[in-house]
Amino acid sequence: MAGSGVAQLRNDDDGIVLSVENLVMEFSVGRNEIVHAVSDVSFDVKKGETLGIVGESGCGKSTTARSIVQLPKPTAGSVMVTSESDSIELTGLKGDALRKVRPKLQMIFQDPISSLNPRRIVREVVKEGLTIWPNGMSSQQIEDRVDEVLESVGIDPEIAANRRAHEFSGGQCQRISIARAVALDPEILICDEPVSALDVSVQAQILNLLEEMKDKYGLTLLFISHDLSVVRNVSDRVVVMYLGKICEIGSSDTIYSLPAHPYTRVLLASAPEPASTVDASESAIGDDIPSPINPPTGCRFRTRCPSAQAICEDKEPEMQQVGEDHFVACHFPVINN
Amino acid sequence: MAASLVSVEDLHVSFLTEQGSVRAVDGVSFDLEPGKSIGIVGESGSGKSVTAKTLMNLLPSYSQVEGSIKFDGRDLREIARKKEKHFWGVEMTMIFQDPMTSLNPVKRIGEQISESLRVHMNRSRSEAMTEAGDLLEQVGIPEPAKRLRQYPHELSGGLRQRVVIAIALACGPRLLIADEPTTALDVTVQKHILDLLDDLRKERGMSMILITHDLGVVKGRTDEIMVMYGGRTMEEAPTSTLFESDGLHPYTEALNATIPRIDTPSHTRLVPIPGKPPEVIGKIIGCPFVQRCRYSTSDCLTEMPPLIEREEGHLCACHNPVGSPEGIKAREANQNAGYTPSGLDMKEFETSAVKRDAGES
Repeated sequence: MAGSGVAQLRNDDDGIVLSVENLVMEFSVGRNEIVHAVSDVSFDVKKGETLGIVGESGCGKSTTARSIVQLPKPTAGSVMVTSESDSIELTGLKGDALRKVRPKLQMIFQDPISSLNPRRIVREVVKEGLTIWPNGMSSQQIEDRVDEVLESVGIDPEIAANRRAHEFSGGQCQRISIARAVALDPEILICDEPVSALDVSVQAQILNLLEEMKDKYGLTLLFISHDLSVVRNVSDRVVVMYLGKICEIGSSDTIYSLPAHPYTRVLLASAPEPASTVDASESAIGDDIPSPINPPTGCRFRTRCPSAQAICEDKEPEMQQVGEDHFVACHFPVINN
Repeated sequence: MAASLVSVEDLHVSFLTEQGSVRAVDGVSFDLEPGKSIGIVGESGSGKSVTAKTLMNLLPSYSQVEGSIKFDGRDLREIARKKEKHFWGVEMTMIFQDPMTSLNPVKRIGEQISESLRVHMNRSRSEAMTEAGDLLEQVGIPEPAKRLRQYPHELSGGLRQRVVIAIALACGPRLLIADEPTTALDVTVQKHILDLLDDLRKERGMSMILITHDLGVVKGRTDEIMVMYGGRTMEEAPTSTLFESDGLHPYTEALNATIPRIDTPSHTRLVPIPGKPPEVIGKIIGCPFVQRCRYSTSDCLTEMPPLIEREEGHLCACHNPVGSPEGIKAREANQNAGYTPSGLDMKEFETSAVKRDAGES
């Protein structure tokens, strides 16, 4: 199947923090119709690594992130989070057990202003996660922790902590969201289009801040964006998704310098400033993404693919290795371009 | 130089609010010749959309406009006062960012396109519908006859934006203003829409103003580029000239350095633009970018630099342009002092506050 198979998964003792296997997410939309949002997606993330997920709208990148944090639970598949002490399979957890694990996985979202409660002061917003569950911290320790994380994201707690979200700009609100997320000392920070709503001058500040926070708090990042240049800048490894499937996965410099999947090449050629490794004419494909209710048989990209042939309709390509840390799901990958 | 189709001179737009008067556009001038295109680039709050809305006569009643805008030699205010109904929508049209909200969800596509033909061009219902079908074909929509009977929600984002373009072109405008026409669209669709706009412009000999926050979108596309910041024009040049250097204005240079590039390796540290956008309430003395500029001198705090021609066809509003003797001197002086005259720590510009090495791969 296009993007199926687990060849891209690495050995378990390599310091893998998050391992997603055969993740499936389907939504019922009535009259026996099912939206196949994410179909059989597998990948893993090492400690300290940033994994970028890129694709067009509707490719399932946000749904993948949400099903990792079990919001809502995926239809099938496994999500394994490994920390120093233990490995936890998230899909099997319920209620309190799941809530106890949640601090390990924190998220920041696209719209920084609407992701902060407008009626509460910044201090309460950042503190809330720490007070929900008894974690052995005294109230003074909690206050100190709030001050510390606010300072580390460049917000002065003295001045800012007693104000409300609307008094801040978009960039500052995103900083507060990051502070709220790292306050719980998470293993994994999932960033869902964190800079898409920001101006470019602020975008660079936030991207640099995320790198600083990653170093300082030992975070592992899952970074979702539709912006190819941003994904390349922040990621160690990149996943390219199309219509609920993985097309290509590999180290980010490899994906951008030696793109093997026709879809990756189309994306790179379509960027406002096309990548130098592809020809601009490769962007010529149809605009219409097929419906995820009735995805094409065989390879899901075949309806728009410039190199599709008969086999692509009949047989879904398996994930295959084409280079060191470079995997692609295509019958006719472009190799050694 | 051919006679200008659009000539904007010293345009000031402000909005009266309870907090005071908000300056949105503060002395912008530009000329656009027939058949040419200009890209207006700027971040949010730079005044690019307000400039467009002023041209379209779409400003709210609490706004104050000063300066002159001429279209083909005629004063726009005159046209507005006479309430000429066949000007906006015929001679000058505009397309917006979000194709869903620009279309009426409860009317069929055909009706929405033919409406302006019937109102402005006195076409009969059936004539207008035939023309609407032709327009859909011109904007690259397959099966136009079927699409005419569909509603906007039945179309994808890219097709909807094509319908919006068809509506804008229906009456054969001489000027098309496109305000962030592709920001809400996927990259694969974005390129097709921009190429389509380019082709249609050349085919029809139409002028175009393309407004965007993304320098990459206008690169190699428009004839001229105008970079705006804080309601003012910072730099204006032919597109090829502007991209040969990275811009003469420190703001353009900073914008170029702050954007991640698709061809640079992972974990290249971005050079942020320190500080935040300028206050918009009250009058600004000096250059609006001075608080964030590493080339600033004490003059920049007190005196707005005029927009002057630094190189042929290349206008720049800066006392100390990048690469000029003044610019090099100012930057060195600031570097040695450790801070700029506006009190900005030069360390803020350093790229290595935290190391960003190449990762494991």
